[in-house]
Amino acid sequence: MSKARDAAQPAAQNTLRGTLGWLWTVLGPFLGLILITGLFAWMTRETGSFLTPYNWRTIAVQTVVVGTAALGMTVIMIAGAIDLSVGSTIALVTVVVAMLVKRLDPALPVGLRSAGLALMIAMGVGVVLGGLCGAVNGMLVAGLRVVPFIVTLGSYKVYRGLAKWLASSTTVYVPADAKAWWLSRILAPEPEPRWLMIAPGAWALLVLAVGLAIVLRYSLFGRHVYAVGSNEATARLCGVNVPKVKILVYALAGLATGLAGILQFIYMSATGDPTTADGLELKVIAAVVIGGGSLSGGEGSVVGTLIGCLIMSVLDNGCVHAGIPNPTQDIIIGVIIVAAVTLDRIRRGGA
Amino acid sequence: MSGRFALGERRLGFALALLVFPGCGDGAAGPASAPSAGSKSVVLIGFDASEPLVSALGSGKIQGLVVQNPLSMGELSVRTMVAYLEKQPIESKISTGETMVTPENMAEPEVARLIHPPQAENNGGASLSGAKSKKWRVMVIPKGTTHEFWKTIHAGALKAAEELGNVEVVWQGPQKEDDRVLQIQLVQSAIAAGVDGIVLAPLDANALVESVEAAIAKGIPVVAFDSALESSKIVSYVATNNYNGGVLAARRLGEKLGGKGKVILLRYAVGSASTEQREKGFTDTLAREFPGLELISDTEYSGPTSDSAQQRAQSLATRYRGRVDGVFCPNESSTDGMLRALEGAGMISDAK
Repeated sequence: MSKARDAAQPAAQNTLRGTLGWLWTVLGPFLGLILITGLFAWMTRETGSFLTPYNWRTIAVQTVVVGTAALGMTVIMIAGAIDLSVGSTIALVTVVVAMLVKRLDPALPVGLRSAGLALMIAMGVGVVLGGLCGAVNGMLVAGLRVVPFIVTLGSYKVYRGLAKWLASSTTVYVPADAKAWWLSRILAPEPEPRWLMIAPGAWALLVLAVGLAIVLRYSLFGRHVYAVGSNEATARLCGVNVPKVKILVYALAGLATGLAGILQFIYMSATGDPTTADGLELKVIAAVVIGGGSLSGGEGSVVGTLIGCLIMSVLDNGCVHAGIPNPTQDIIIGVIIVAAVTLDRIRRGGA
Repeated sequence: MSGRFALGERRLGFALALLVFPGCGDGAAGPASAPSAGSKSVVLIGFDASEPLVSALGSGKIQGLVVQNPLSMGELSVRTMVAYLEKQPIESKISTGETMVTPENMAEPEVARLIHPPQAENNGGASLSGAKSKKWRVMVIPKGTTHEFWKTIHAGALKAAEELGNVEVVWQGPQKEDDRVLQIQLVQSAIAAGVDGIVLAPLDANALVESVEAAIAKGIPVVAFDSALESSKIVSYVATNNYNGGVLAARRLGEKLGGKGKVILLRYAVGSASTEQREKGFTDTLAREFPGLELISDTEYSGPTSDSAQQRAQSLATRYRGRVDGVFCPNESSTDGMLRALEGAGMISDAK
């Protein structure tokens, strides 16, 4: 490479092009979001119910689970991998958290029970469990050298099976007196106190997103993730410990999935459901892809993914407000996924 | 070389056939010929009526269907909601009745009306997008939209809307059957859309409580239908007496088997209150009234679709082939899947 010779002059140019490129990748999905929002606003113009603050608070709540899981998937897809076990991990986490609360709560002293200590412990365990599930995926991918699609197709079945086995194929309910007062507030569309504007769970998603964006953009680990996803062989030659990066990527994404599992648990009024989130991984992958991620790796951004998630939930919510029947909804969402990615390709090809 | 390979392949095929149709290895005829393994036909009792189930009843493949009255359920749910909105007195629990339909009584006009109910079109009714054209706008949320049962509920709801004249019905089911999360999202969207009332068939008696109570807190009354909800704040509960439906099924099975035999219960799904009530009515009655009937399997669940039910039923049918005398399935999709599985395994004949 003639890097040394051109080092001085293109440095500034590269940063500029980087920033513009970033804007470009985010702007596309963002325009899509505005377009879809405008379309639904027009379709519901007579009632105006779609553009109310309350409805957007509802959409925020409905985006949280997919959004949290999609943050993890973004990192995985930037690294050029995929995770099909997301939905199963979420189901496993809801089941384990519900079972833990059920066991733990009666054993605790009364004061701690009313504060919901059992819930907090169980939810902490849930996040760690998600991380473990991810780490196992990562170790299998790195250790067995089997393509991620197949490894996680396997763990997709294994984690789902574990969830069903632990729960004896039934739904695990948390007793009503073990549900602390704060639990239902986390994902309530109208938060208390009011100045929060959106549900605490949605804030958690935003904070997590900012943190992840900083890690991906400014940390060495973040650069390694992009390097591995862009060209694994080159990354290895440059001295990147590729297996270690992969395991870390999956473990990190697993923590996000674990958090998504906890949020799903809360969303279902503290229910552990071994059949929940079936097919959620496809929704998550779709959101990342709409947001500029690529199945071949090296591309994708946190902001893009969040917009992709918003597009998905605005579609779900808007179709209800516009009274579009279910079969039509399926078709519309399918068309938009393909259209979004095609536009992205055309744009890249032209640039 | 190739000969040996072909032989190996044939062996593999034979082993597979043994796995799928146990009994065909010991000289018995293959699966294509009618009931051979069990010698006598299995007595199948189902729940709900769809075209294929009714025609199977007509040909004697099904010996009884417990039939609800979804038309009246859809109609009464909407009527109850409107009565509440207009501040008229209402009952907190409304039963819409259940009937045992058999090959013998299915021609009677009253029964025939129940098994050939009207069905609504996919997109019948009002939508949330337009301005309210009637005094009240009520959103009806079923558990799913693909079962014929829900289409008849829809027709009933539209019938009520037409007859009352002051209410428009918005019909919106979860995008995917059996998904609690999607149904919670629908209730939230209904709140955001500011409807006057929500008529809901809860997929889960517990998981839906919070979103329903959030609606009630926002001044939107909720009527539950078909399946119960663990909340005292709802306006009314309109449903079949599901427990009694299970009792009727157990009695019919006992009568057909002469009080003696081995019985399978293919359950539907966990957390679905209506089918759990039917299953309980069935098992309670077996234990209480038919000591000669032995329940050899009651731990399998059919899952949400005819497809998943058929898979589960196939496994059950092959496992208990020749050892089972009667089967009860607690809803349309499980009955449908079981019927196809029993037909495929040659365990059911159409002799009346």
